[in-house]
Amino acid sequence: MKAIIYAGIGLFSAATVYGVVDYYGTKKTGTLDKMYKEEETVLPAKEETMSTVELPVKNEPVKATVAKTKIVTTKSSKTKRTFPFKAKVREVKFSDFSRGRIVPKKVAEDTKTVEPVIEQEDK
Amino acid sequence: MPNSRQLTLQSSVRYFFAALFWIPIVFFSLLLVKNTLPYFSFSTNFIFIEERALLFLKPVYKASFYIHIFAGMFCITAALTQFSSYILKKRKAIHIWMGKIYVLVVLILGAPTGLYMSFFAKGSFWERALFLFMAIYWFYSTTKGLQMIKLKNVLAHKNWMIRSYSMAMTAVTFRIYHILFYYFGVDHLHNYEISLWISVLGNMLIAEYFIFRKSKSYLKTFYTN
Repeated sequence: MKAIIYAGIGLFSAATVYGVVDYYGTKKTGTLDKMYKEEETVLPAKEETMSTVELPVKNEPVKATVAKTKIVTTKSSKTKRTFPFKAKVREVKFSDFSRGRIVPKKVAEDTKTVEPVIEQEDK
Repeated sequence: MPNSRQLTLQSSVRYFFAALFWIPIVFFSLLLVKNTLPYFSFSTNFIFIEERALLFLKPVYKASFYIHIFAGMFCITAALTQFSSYILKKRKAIHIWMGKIYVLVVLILGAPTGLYMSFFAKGSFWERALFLFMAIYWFYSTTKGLQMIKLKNVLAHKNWMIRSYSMAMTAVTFRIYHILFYYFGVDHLHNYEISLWISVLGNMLIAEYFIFRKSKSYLKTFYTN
């Protein structure tokens, strides 16, 4: 019994000394600082284009003699994401039962474009 | 004086809560062992190893890692038989031999390698200090448990081995909290740190609660010889 305890204490002390020396040696090279840093993914801003369309207004037969143009601004929402993946609802498998990072499943999302809507004035 | 029906009901309730406690522990312990086995293909195609790719270039760290997970597997499996009163009464030799394996593996393999790896653990200085504390506490409580049974002090042996097992079980409870916080959307680094602290402190509190409930003088459990 004593042999096991003394062997354990010896290994423990050796692990402490070696661990401290190795830690300071690794810290000097800067390895530890970079190792666990997570890279931040920056999503590009949504592109929104504003377009202005000039529409002729229909003349009133009695009064108006000059054609008036009315500017109607429309907003075309063109959502085009260059980052194509969106994190799905989180699923966990038995193999994720570990100390490592759990990587979420990613699903490709289609890019959507919306045509501009032009409003017309009725009589 | 409770009648036989009340006594049966009381013992049934006790067995029910014991099963509620032990069935998840046994399940998750065996799941941990099952998930550890693929690492012995010595492939680097694991997220845990990829994160520490630079550390795995050191032969000492690589050897410590594989020794530590090998020791952890044995500890978790050996400890599953140790709290069974049936095995203790009917097959005491199993308890003795599994206990010897557990003590040997912890003192010679598990705790020293865990101590060395704690210097390179993920997180801040406090997480590394916590891993260091875990290694020291695991070593100390296992040594005390061995010493107590050699002195034929069974109660003290039980208390110290509960403390030692609580440290071994942090491997299991950490993974449970890790998955729970992942579901709540916590980012990985914070998830790792929170799960680590809750698993260690939570396990210690639960162990001390069990010891407190069973002992007449709780403070004496720390220095009984």
